[in-house]
Amino acid sequence: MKATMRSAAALYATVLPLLATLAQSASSQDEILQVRAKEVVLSDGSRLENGVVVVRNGKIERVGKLDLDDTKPFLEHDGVLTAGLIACQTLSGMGTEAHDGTRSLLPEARIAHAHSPRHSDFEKALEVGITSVVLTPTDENVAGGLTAVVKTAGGTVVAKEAHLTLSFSVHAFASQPQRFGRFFSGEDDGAAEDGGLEDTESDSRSSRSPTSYAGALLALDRRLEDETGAFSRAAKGQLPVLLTAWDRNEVARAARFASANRLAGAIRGAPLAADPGLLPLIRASKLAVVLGPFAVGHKTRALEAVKALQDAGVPVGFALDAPSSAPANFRLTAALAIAAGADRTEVLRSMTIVGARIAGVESRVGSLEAGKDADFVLWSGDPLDLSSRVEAVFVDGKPAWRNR
Amino acid sequence: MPLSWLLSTLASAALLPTVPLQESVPEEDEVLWIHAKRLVLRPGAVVEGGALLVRGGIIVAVGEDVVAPEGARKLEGEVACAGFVDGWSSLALDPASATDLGTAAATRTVDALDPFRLPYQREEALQGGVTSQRVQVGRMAQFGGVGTVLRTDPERAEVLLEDACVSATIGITRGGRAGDVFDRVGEVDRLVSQIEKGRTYRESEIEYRHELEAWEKAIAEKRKELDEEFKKAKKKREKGMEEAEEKGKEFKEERYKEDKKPRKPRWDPSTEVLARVANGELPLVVEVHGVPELRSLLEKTAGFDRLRLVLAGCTDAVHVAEEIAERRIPVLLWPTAEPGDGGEYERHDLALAGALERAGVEVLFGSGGRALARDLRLLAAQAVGHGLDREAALHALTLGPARAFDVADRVGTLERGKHADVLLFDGDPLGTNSRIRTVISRGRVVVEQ
Repeated sequence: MKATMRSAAALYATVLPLLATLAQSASSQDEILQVRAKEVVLSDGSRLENGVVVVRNGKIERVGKLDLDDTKPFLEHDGVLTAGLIACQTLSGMGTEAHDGTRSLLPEARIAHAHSPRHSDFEKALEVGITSVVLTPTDENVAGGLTAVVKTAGGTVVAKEAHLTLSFSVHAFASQPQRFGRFFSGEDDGAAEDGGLEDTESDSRSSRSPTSYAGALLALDRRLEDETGAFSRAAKGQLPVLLTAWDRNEVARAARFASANRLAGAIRGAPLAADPGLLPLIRASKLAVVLGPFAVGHKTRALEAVKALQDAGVPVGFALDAPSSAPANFRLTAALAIAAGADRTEVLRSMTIVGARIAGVESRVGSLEAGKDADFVLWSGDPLDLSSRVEAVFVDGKPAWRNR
Repeated sequence: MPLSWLLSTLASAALLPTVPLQESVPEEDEVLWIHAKRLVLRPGAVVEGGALLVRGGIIVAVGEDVVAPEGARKLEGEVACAGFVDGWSSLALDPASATDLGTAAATRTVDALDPFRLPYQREEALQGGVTSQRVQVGRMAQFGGVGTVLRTDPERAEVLLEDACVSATIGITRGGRAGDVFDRVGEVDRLVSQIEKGRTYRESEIEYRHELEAWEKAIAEKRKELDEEFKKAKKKREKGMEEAEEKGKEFKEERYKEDKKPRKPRWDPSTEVLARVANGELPLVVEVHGVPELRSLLEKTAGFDRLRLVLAGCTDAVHVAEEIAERRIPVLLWPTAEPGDGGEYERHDLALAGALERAGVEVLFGSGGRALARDLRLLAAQAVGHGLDREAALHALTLGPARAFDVADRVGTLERGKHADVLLFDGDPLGTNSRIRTVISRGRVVVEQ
């Protein structure tokens, strides 16, 4: 085992610089790379033995049992090749905007503007095989803004406006009541810019700021009647929502809110999603659920949610939640879910294609299919086995990280 | 003289391990025959297609040709290995005891055990293959007290070893106060002076025993001498009394130099425990992280040739790995990537175990004083994924901690005469895709999944 790992490492040490030079020399022509791995994991979870992935100009050209073209650069990998992993939530590389709960409603704010591609958080994500992440604004605001999908190498923004984030967390609604009240009464700067939750028309019913969680939900409902803007796009089904909800009641409200307004998207949080009282609501809302990250010692009930949701046909994605959670917990989350009974194939799909679907970028990333971005990971063994490790990560067909 | 003191001194004088509390666990009648395609007897010793025979909770036969006797219960699996030993957990402790700041060297974990606390934690730990654990109070205190090795099985809260070690910490944030480097090195000095105190106590105690022996001998001789010359002495005494009366003075009894009894060294429970530490009867587990305090600790403990040191945590130990390896000090790690897990040392590195092992250090795994036993195997697998050798990882989960905490005579390996703590897997014990199917604790099937 040790010997093969060492030789694999040696292989990358020699091949990767070679690749880099080849890529440079062929700049005038098409950049081609062929990778053959002992096992290639396809989007349906099936495994192709000695499969080959052909990459042209950063895109996957073909996948299958193909012969290698000796005249073009190629890489032999004595291990497993999967699509790059997708994390459905993270605050990687953000500054104070990750905690700025001072503007309750900023539905048009693009978190893509807070993307700092060279931040070390992205390299840490690469190390565990994550190639794309959903950057989310803080969940301390009712409407935190628009998420972005970015790659962990190369600084590519895959989607500038992936979801509208709404937080049903009691922190967003009630952490600072004085600000909250001011905001709903339209005195807040941010509210003035965005129109606030409240109608600017002097409607006697709505001129009072909400005084309860339920009242705030009603005000949110009204915002969905906006004629333009993020709320309106969400209501029309043009923009998915990402609803943060932790407690049982928060999750129930989020699911009902999405059902009533026919919103598409996902719930983030929901550790008790497998609760018999919640699961039917989540299923009816057709929302996906973004779980995790789980750490060692996590409550078994939350770990079992992965299996329960997947069995119920609810798409499940996993959060990275950097920098507060360690990147290694992303794979640990999967291993813990599997230890708690989840199906291995489904868990890997959650980390790749299902995650990409939740992020709304499945046409570009999340699986090894012709035409998609060449984001893939070379593993020493099974990607879900914690004792195997990432040997190299490619993003857009370029070596982005390798195990030294 | 307190009886416990007598017992402990007698035991330590004879270098005997302290007698476990509940050695008389009811015998298990069921005979088990456990067969595996790969029988891992101890890390590195594998029997392909072997079986174990278990009677009365003890392994009575091991090998390829062990056949199942009639009536034995047959258990089969792909791989079998010894039950895991968690090197540092808070099982059966309430959080207040686990993190108590007021513990002293002589505080006994066994007194804080609540075997009925959170039984699900024990069930989950067993499901994760952890059949015994070293439990320790006072995780955050300067001296955590005496740790205990406990069987996980909730049905039988068996204490495997009451006095397994003494724990201490250096440079841990206590009560919200994190020390700077001088505080940390100062803590090393205080710890070392305590060990020194223990050593001095043990020396003076031995000296006292010799003096006492000599005194008793001298007294006996003198008494014999006086007995023989009884009449002469009596006469002399009477004469003395008369003379005193004549002169109107008080009569003084004759004093003998043998009257002076040697004085017993001042005893207190902490010093006694520290003496056992200095003498190597109890290992000393020190949680320590930074390089300056690691260096200082290694340097200042070098003179204690009997001290059995175990280093725990050891965030920055790679920089002193060579010396740790040379002195054969085991290192107890909890390989987690949680940021902030090491207090101010927010650099818990999954590659640490592998790096230390490559430098020749013996690595042990534990939950870091928490209740993470359920996931200990996943943590070990993560360490393997970051460069730790598989055999070393299995050692860190079984024989390593069993040996470090003096219970390797009963647990940690699958050998004849050992307690039958056996795990049956459907694949690689360190592969997280494989599952633990059966867990046997002292010959009793406690998990079947």
